[in-house]
Amino acid sequence: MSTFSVAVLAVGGVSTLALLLYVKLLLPSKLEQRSLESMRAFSKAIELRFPSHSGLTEEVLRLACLVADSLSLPRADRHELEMAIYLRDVGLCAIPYKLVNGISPLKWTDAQQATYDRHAEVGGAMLESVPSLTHLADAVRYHHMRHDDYPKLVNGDEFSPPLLSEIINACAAYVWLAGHYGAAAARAKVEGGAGTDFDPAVATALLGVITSSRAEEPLRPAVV
Amino acid sequence: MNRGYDESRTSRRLAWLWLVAGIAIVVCFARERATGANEILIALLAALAVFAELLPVELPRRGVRITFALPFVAAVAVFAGGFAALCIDFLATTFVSILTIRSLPRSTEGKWIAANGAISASSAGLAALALGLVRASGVPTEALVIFFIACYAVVNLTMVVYVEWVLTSRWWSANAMAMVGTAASGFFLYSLVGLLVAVMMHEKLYFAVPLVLVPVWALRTGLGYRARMDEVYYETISALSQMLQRAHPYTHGHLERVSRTAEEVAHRLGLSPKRARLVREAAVLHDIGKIAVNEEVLDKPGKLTPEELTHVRLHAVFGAEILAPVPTFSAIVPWIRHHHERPDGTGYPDSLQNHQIPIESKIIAVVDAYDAMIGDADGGRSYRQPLSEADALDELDRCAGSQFDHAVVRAFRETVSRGKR
Repeated sequence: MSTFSVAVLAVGGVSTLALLLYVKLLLPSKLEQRSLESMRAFSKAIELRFPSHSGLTEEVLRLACLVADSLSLPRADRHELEMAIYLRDVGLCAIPYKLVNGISPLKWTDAQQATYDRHAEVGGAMLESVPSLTHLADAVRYHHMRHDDYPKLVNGDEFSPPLLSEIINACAAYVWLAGHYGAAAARAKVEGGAGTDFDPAVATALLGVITSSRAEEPLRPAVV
Repeated sequence: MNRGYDESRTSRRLAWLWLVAGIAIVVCFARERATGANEILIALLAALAVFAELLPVELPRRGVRITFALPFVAAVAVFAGGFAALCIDFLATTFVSILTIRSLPRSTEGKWIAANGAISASSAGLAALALGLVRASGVPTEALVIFFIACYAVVNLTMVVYVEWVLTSRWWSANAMAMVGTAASGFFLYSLVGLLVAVMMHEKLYFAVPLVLVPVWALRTGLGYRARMDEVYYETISALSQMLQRAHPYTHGHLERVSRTAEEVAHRLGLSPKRARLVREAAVLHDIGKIAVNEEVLDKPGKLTPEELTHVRLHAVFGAEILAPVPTFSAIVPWIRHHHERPDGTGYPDSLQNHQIPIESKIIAVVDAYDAMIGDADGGRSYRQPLSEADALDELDRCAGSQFDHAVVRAFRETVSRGKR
């Protein structure tokens, strides 16, 4: 075999190997990272519109990742969970500025609460119109749904509540309650709501996470 | 109702028969003609060519589909003769055109197949003729393979440009650089793969030839990821602008008009096509900060109080802050922050001097102001009547130097008057 042939084959082999490594190992995580980075723009926009929400996303994300760990969520689902947390409140862009910035949520009338609650549906509808995010629409649409409300959604069909929205629901509720009523009260609410407000498995995982993580990283109370 | 579907399915099934028959004809013919060529080998190369043709590699956002049949066809040309190469290329191209026909309207199907077949037969045929001319001069087979690929590429590119001109009457100068770049990288890749195939054939490592499809497959997967990253980028832009639309509805079409014109003005001012494209994207997002502004203040008719004005003016800062966490937007963040700066230094948020303001921000400022003057871009909020186009242009001229940049206003005027012709 001529030296030339050996050289060509060697270069071909090595570059094929390099290409394979790049495509199989590097690119998938790069795509995930790109997607996540892009999602930060959405949560940033909401935090600027409603300053009382600022910092909540990071806090929910931190808890939800720990919950995902303790539920041993597969890697792909974990990525979707992170995406959905950044996107969960995109629908808030359609909620009146004055409602959230002018009045404390603790003093909302039922009608005002109902207006605010529309944001989950609006967010779900928005994501449905974006092809690469459509698969996250349900996680966002149901992220404030009570666990025992899911059966009411369907007319006879099987409907399994999306695990992602159960996780977001529990973590976001805990973070919000802790900010308004203190960590102890929030904890009690999660305990009491397991099986009714929250998915029992998710609630258990969340309680485990806050018990072990509270000492090292205290929750910052949100400004109201 | 399903007849159209059935027909195309039938024709796809029949295509397989044609393929087998064609390969049989080619192998028999080549066996008579070529000396020392092994018919199993030719059949193998033919099969690889068809398979590679079925694995198209889509180049992101160009609408260009390249397939890797060419290196195998070139190997056939060198090792079994030009006629066999012509037949295999023609068969593979026609076969795959028939299989992938689904996406086309029925009326153009025949034309599409015929054009593809004709282009492939001409490219392979002319390249084979050229190969015949140099073959005798003792050039090594590896060089012959690359020579064939080069000739094929030249003929193919010329004909594709011609077909595009016939169909869309768009001449290639519009995206000449992109075309040349694509063609160059395509040729480079083809030559590498062709060289590998030639060396393997030359060294009689026939079993290794199919392995060449591994890097082709990897390339295809890699470009697929690239395309998805682009998709994430463009869909982030459209989702953000949808968010703005929900927070503060614009008159439909305002952002599209502004972004299209901004790109044209950027071209006219001599920015590179890539940068002009970025200007277009920045123009879509320039008011994204209004998501965080009270819509009641934005929609308030009449004069704003000083506090309200300060609040509304925050949108430029907010816009930059929203995009800042996304590294792919890093270039356009300052353009958005500064799209309300003025050359006379009285703009906001940073009261920049003329030379400190990015030209991209100046473009967006002019195009946005013009579109706001001639229509009710802000959904009828404003209390004044829309201006005529001529009056709006005069207004831009009047404010050139203080509110707007002279050169940008001039380029904008040229763009608008050219658009009318």
